[in-house]
Amino acid sequence: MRGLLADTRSVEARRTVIREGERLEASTLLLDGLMCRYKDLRNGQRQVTELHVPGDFADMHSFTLKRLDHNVQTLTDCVIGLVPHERIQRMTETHPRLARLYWFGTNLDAAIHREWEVSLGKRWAAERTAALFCEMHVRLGLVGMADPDGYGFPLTQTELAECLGITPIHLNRTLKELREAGLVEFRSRYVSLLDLPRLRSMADFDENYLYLDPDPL
Amino acid sequence: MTRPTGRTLKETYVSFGVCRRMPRFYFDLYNGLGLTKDEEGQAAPDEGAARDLAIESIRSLLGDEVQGGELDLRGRVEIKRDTGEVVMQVRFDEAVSVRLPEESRHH
Repeated sequence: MRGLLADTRSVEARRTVIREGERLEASTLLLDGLMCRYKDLRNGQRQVTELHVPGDFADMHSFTLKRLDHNVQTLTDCVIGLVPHERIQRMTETHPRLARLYWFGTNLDAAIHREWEVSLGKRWAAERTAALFCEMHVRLGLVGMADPDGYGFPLTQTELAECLGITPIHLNRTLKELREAGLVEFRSRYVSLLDLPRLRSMADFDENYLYLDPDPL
Repeated sequence: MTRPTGRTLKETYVSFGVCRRMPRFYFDLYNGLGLTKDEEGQAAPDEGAARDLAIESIRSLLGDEVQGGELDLRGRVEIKRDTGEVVMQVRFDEAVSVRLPEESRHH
């Protein structure tokens, strides 16, 4: 795996590292920090479409697509690794099992997108917010960045609102509702899970879509 | 989406020039849940743009509430500068135009 990395670099928080439409010859692996995929709207707003934790490829899909229909940005100071597409090409020929693992990764991205689609289309603001907190608890937990009852989540309320498709003021009111119901608290960039079973239940959160126990590839 | 001023937010930003540092506004919300204090604030080019953000948020809040079968227009958003000075208040009923059938007006 390490042999695939051509270069690692540190990137400051809130830098767009991949712009929609630009020609790409390498995929970006997130080694440390948090990143997001987002789409800009013409009216100046944006929608975040997925969050990335260390170990995620921000754009394994650019290997086949060669350009993206979205942007990729760092949310915190990050360390990223660049994997040239020609090395991935060779790897698919010499290490088919690794290739299948990467395919699994892009399928997992699609599953996460489907869940966000359900959230944006069908969950109310409070449930949607709860579902995202549950998802990030599981995903950050997998890479050792969460405790049983909480995790550091260094997003601003504006960024979190951009994930959820609501305005920051609406989010603030929603967070108050969740806090007063004794479910979850988001303060000082930390998520405290006050009652995880009830939070999961109100969000209708089922971690099956994260495929935590895949068959051997 | 067209904002209440008829300008998009991006046009508003561009008309002010990208180099200008935008002031921060804080949006405290008063409604059925009591006060929801805004600790973080949002940058906006001017008071008009801040008002647009408040109106957009009120509409988003009311939309979510309507899905639950309720519409309560008694809230307001108080917009403050980082000095704490109150710039303006936007009442929920200023964010939407309400039309009711004739007979319900007497209730």
